[in-house]
Amino acid sequence: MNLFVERFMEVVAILFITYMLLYTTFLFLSVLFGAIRLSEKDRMVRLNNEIKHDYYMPISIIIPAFNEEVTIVDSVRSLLDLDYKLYEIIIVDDGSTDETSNQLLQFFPFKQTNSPIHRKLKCKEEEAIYEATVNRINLTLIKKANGGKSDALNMGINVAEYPYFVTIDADSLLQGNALEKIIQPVLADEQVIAVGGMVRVAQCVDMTDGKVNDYRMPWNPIVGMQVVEYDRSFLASRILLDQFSGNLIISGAFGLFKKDVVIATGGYKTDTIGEDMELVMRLHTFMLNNNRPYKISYQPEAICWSQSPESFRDIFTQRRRWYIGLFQSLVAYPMMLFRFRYKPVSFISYLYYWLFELLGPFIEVFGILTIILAFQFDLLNVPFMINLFLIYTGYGILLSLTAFFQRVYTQGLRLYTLDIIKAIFMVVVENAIYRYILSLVRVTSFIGYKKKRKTWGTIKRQKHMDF
Amino acid sequence: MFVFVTYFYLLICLLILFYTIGYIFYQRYDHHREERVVKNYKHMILEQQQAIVQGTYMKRDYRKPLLKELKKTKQLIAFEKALHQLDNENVSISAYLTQIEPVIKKLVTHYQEYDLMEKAYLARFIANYAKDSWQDPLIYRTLVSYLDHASIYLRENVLMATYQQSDPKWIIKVYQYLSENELFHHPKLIQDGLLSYPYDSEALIDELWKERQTFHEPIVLGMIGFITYQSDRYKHIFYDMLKEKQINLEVKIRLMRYFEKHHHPKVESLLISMVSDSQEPIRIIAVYVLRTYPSEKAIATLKKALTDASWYVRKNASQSLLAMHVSKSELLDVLTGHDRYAKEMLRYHIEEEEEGGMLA
Repeated sequence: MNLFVERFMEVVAILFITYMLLYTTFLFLSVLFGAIRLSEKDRMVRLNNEIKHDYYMPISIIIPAFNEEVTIVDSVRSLLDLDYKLYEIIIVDDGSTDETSNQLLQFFPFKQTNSPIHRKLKCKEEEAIYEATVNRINLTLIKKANGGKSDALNMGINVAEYPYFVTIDADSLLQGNALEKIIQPVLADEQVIAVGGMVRVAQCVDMTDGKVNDYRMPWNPIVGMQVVEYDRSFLASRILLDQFSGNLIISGAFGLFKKDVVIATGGYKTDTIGEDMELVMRLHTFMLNNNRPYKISYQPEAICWSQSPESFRDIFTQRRRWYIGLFQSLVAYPMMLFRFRYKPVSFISYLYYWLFELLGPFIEVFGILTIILAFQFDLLNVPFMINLFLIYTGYGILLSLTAFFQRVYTQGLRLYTLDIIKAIFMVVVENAIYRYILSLVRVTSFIGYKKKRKTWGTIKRQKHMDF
Repeated sequence: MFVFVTYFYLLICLLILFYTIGYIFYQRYDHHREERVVKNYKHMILEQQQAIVQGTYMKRDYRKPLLKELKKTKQLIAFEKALHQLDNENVSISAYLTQIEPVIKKLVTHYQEYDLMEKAYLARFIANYAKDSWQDPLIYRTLVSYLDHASIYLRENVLMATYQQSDPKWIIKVYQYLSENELFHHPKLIQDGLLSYPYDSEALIDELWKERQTFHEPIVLGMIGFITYQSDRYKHIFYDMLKEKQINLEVKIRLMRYFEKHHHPKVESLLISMVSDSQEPIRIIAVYVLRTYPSEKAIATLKKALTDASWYVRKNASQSLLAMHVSKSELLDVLTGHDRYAKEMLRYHIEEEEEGGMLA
């Protein structure tokens, strides 16, 4: 028995070392490319290497909303102050059971209309349509039967007037220049069909009229750890994948899409939880299948501030949804690997998401169980394990801190000593404890999961001014 | 091996972290340094401007050290910030700018050795201050030479600079370079850029149009957009073009839009025939543009278009009918007819118009 366990442990050790080597290499390359690209971008902005115009393409902003009475008015108000000449705002109330629509109707001069809707994409029937014009910006509010976030987004696309649309969450705030920044890749390259913006944690920021007044690390460690996580994801791995147009996710919190291409692919799928990732995967496969040249870009200068969960309960719910969405999107497109295996988006991006994002939590939990087993059979080299853990955690801490400081210099933020101390604390806890808790949450995601349930992933909202 | 590789990665990441932290401190220092330099430049520019206004010429021993300083990109950034601040303070610096043209001529030659981003910066700097001040062909000939292996930003900035000098020749040269090398430049950028041309736009249009065969499609599209905003002298030319069968769809659409802004009676029958074109985009634009050609024939065509298979054709047709101030009674046959789509669309737009109090 002992010999069997010994052999088993040897095999596991080899697999683990290979896995960790691949993962650390990916992280290393992410930070390296992130650092190079951010430094280059910083220089580009200083040297006016930007497409800057008074008039850009007109954009439709689509806000799907479900029970968002707390934040919806502030969010729409903030969108009316963007530094952009021509855009419209479409709010789709997906059968809210609270006062979402009433709040909007009270605050803005909406009038009910019978505007006909061209149903290019299938979605549930509208119950009422309201239109208003504020500061020469057209606002449309659609009240419809509950059909889920994808259904609401499809309705928004049907109503959108302009050739490009942006999707944002109902609790999000866009920075004043966010639209100007997110459209720039489209003007620079006609092949761009979608652009992802950078999503940051709204609880940290003090904003007036789309301008950041101040930025502080939050006291709440749950929010703080998400700040660190977002920095690492948005300032490192997405930049690396963007080198070959290989991002498979454009966050639903802030992304720009070419409308006709999205309509050609069938819009958002209503039977999936991770509708944002699923759409991007479909765009990739659609364009590759049809041999059409295309690019999906990432623009870290286009910034959206989105509320993050503040309690363990909310964050666990959110992460379960994200994980199931990831699973659904990856298993739905195996052709990414088989049919287009020579494309970097397949053998790097697709494999990365499979190995490190989807299977990663299982591998981590399996690793912990193996350690316990090895300890039971007295096969564990404890000093080596501690050493390995410290190196691995130290490496993670270093990467996260680098991303944190990169954000400070690229966005010209003021740096406070207290924020540095908080960041170091958050980074240590996040790498040593939090990530393992989240792995466990992901592993248990499928417990209680019902395939056809089309629920909204709601978290407890706060009014923006309460931060 | 894993530990060794990880230590190697750790070392490199540590260096990146130190570099990043160091850069944050450097940024702060640089910010203060730059503020001081900008202040000095402002003081110097004002002094020189005053002297020039009083009739004194700029001395050679002023230009030489200025050139030496501006060869350093950081100094050029500070110099531009000083000019920008003075501009915001409504201080007139045009005489000063004219006097430093020899410096810019030498600078533009010197920057040929620099990298793409620095060249792009200089081009944008020239674009911002060239108007009425820096017209020497040498500047623009050199800028055109920057285009080899240029980034989109450098191409755009060189174009912006050429729009600020009066000779269309340099704009044409850049367009031809882009076309020969099949470098995409968005029509919207071409159109907006041309609109910033501050001199005789009609003369520019004529020169550009003469050379249009040498430009590729995105540039022609941008040019037509520009002409639509600036000139009504192209009715006959565009009408003849529109009649051609081999014309590209995008170009055709742009030409049709021209006739929405610039009324030309001859085009009405052509537009009416286009309402039954097999291509949907042509029908959509044709019914839209017809709103500016109110006649019985046009009204009858638009009423018929209300039953078109395309949603957008029906939508534009109903809007065009109302824009022509056709009364409800004239539309009664549609409103009481059997076509559900036509009725629905028309009713909505009538309601919309009635809210605005426009319907007769």
